[in-house]
Amino acid sequence: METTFPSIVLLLDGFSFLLAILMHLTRRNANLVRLYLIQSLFLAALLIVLGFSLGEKSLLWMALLTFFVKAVIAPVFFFRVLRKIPGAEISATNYLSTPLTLIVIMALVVLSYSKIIIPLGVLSPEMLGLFSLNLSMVLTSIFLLINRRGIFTQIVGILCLENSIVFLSTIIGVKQPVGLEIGMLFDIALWIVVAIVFISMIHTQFGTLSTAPLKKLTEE
Amino acid sequence: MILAFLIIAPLLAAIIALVLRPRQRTIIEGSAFAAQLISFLGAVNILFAVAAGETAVFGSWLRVDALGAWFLLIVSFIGLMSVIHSIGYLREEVRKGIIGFKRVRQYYILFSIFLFAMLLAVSADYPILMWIAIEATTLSTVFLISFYNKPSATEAAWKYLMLNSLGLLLGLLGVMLFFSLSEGGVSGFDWESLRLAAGATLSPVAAKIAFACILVGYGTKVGFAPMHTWLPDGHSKAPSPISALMSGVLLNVAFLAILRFSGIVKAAGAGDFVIQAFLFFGVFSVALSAFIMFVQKNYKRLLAYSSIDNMGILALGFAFGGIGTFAALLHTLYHSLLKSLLFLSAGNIFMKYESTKIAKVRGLFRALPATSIIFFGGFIALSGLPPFGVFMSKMLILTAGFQSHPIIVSSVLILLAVVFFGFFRHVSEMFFGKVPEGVVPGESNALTVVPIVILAIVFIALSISFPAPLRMVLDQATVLINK
Repeated sequence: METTFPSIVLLLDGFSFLLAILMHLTRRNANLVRLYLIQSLFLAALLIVLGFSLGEKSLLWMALLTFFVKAVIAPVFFFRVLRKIPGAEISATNYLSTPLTLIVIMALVVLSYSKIIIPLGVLSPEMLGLFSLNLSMVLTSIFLLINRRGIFTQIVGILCLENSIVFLSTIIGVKQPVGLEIGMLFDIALWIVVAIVFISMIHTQFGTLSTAPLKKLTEE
Repeated sequence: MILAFLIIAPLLAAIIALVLRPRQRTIIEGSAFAAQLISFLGAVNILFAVAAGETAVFGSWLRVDALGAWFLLIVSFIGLMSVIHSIGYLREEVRKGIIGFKRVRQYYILFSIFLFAMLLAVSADYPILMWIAIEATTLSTVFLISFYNKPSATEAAWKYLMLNSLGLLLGLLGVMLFFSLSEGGVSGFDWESLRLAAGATLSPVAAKIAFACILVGYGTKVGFAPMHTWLPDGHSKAPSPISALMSGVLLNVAFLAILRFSGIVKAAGAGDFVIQAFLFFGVFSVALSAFIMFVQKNYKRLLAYSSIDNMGILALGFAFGGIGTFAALLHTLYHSLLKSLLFLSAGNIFMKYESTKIAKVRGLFRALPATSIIFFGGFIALSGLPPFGVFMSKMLILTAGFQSHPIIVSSVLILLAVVFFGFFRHVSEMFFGKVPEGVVPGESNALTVVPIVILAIVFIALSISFPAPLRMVLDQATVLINK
């Protein structure tokens, strides 16, 4: 695994990063969910590829659970909320314009490939490249959270960040007991349920899915 | 076995509350209380065992050393006090028609899960299990912050959910980096394996990068400035027993995660980075909270900022090391006792005045004699005035750093004076004056007074004398952090 990486792994990883960038560009929440769904499918595919190539059944189980939670349950809930709430289709605006957003993403990618990660040289050169790619994905996801005013985008941003960290840990071969991996996924599943409840609460109380009217605390 | 039982007890209470009908309130309250009592007695039992040199273990996932036993005791005791106060507090709210039986049941389910998650976090021998448990504390408390279903509470809960989730994901990234960057890998999944691998093969620079993620991630949960912004909102909007648990205990639990990782970074030879980081967050947290407390208009937010201030003091103690570490651990206990006492008292004040604004609370001494004396005493003690225990812990922390960091210690002393005057100004305004019209003097019910009296007695007793087993565990925990 450390010397020759199947190109399929690199492909899945690269496409997932592209999806994270596309999340910045889309204006429709439904598209945001679709992009997250595809990214989660890629993650499940990565786990399957690594599971078969390394002969580890636990990765295959994780792939199945990832598929079920992130590519089935989460999108079903999200689409249901989008259908129920009038006006929820369009996402709130960015703080930065699209060109500026792309420039910041470029800067984050440059940072991820810069000398700053050389201390992590314990990884092999191929690993280091993939590490940088995944670090770019992590930073891009964090930027998605910061740059958007929409409640929905923030939720998908958190989930995309979680996907990025799982990509990164899987690629660099971090293993945990299956019970703990399931526990993490269970936490994420619960997080999705909590976030969906909050979408309804915020929409009921503030009449919008934008963070702009959330000023009650500063008014008190 | 005791360890597993004391952790599972609150979970069983949550399940009982889930299956019962909301009208069966007494059974729900009783099971929540019984669960906390079991957890506390179990924690005392483990404390004695650890003091005698043993380690409480259950399977390969749970292991309580001296550091764990110290925090386990704090969590379970404050949990017990909070559940007693919750019973009185919620009964009063039901009587006033603020909430219904369904909300009471929902409260106890989430309350018990919250305690289960904290007990699991301090007992976890696997860093990832600790992460899962701390994330579970966020998920269980978010609906407790939005408990009153008001727009401001929902906003505070949303902010809490987003910032803590982001923080904890960064923490997870840090954990993954620690596991991946040791050459030759980590032989197990537990703290000791990670520490051994780090000591042998982790480069100091890699350790610094991973620890930076941990510090920012778990530091958000601790409430270090500048990642603290969720804390005053969250703590002020939650029902008071929950605020007591969040301020008095949850911050400590997240701090424990940072302490565990700091040991790994020290083993990798980057101890200086830990010191610098603790100094930065310590000074920043104390400075920011001191000035904000001075101009604060809401007494629950005032207490929340005081928690940020005290987390800063803890960071400074751990940065100074040696006797500073001992004093910082001691301060975790004193701060937990006093902060929960103050938040529970704040709950009684809120029930009486129906406002958290300082300007609307006048004549506290006449309106709530017992609560007001304990509240005022708690403030005096937390400010670090002699002869209370906090005076000793703060003095030891500052003494530990005086030789190596005289400028920082001098600045912190000035800032602590600002905290004292800010606190005193607000509390004295509340204490004296004329009771507003419509406020009927007298405590709401005995169950809301008993826990704050017990907390005050325990705090005073521990300020005068420290039982031998507690002292032995404290010494052992200090050695664990300093090594």
